[in-house]
Amino acid sequence: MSGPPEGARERLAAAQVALLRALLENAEAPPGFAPERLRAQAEALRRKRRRVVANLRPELLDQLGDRFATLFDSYARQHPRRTGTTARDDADAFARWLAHRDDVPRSPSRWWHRFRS
Amino acid sequence: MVSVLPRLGVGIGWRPEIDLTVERLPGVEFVEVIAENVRGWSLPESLRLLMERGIPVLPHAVSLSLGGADPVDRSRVAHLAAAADALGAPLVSDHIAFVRGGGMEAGHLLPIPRTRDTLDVLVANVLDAQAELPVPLALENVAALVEWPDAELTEGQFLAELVERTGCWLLVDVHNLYVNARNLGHDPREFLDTVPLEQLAYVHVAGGQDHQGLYHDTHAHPVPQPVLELLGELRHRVEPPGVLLERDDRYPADAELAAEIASIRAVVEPAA
Repeated sequence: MSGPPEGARERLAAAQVALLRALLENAEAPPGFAPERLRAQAEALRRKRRRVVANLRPELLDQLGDRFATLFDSYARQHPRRTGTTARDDADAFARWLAHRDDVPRSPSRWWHRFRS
Repeated sequence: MVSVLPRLGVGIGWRPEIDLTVERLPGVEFVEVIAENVRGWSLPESLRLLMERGIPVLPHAVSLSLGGADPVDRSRVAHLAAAADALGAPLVSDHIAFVRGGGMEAGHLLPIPRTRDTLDVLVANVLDAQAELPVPLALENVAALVEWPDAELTEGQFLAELVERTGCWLLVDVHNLYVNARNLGHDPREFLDTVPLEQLAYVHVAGGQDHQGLYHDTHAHPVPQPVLELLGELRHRVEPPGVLLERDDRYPADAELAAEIASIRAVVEPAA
């Protein structure tokens, strides 16, 4: 099967990775894009990712309250989701990131909560 | 390419949160299910029930990243093929978009540059995917907040050439056309005049919301009137084989969904 012309995949990869880095890692805007649109798209992506994690780990939302969004966005900028990981992996990684920062108590763990209730 | 797709009628996206609603809504003639959530050996009871009633269940994929720079991931195509087999689906679909690159996942369908280079890569990826799929593949236009610079083709021209070179079918999302008209100034009528509507598999209809000066494709709000008008514009040009309402969040009462389905039907099946 004949593929795309020589170099086409490489050129497209460079352009797409530059856009992804701007959107996911807050890297510099690639030339030709409207910066305010990139910010709006980046925010929409984080909002979607945050909603998924909040649904998977409602206890983190409970514990962090108003700080959930700010903390999650800070985590997300440092840790774009990697190919091959699931939304559940993302939620677990966020919980570990928080624990490392001591933003949520290391214990009680969830099973301990359930024991008490 | 000669191929015949069935008439689908009016349908709704099946989601686990509204499974009972979908089962009892009047006038649902077909449904769509997110392909990545389908496991052939354990289909939800609700989908089995719909299939027993003879309602077509179409797997709609979101992760093939056919517009991505990398060659298609064969395991993802194999999963979509298995979903089509498990559901007995007459066709499958994904998007004209990319969702990953450089080891990063966007978690969302992002637009691709409308250049000759990109079209060549997309065509190669689509041909590779089609070779592994047991049924026809339909591809959907996406909603965008950002515009790639240096476009060489309009979205309509880009899709027309994609269809010509791959024989793929079109899944036209009229809400996404509306989003791109609002945010990017694209002309949805030029799109409808340019794409080969004889290759139309079906149509998506949804709703969105204004947020900080942009219009977002939320699938969590009612279908706005201008989107029904665009559906009417499409209907002027072709009788769509199917039209499907997508609702993914903030699910309203059954009656509200039934009313939206009725509004869609009124546009595409006007009383004789």
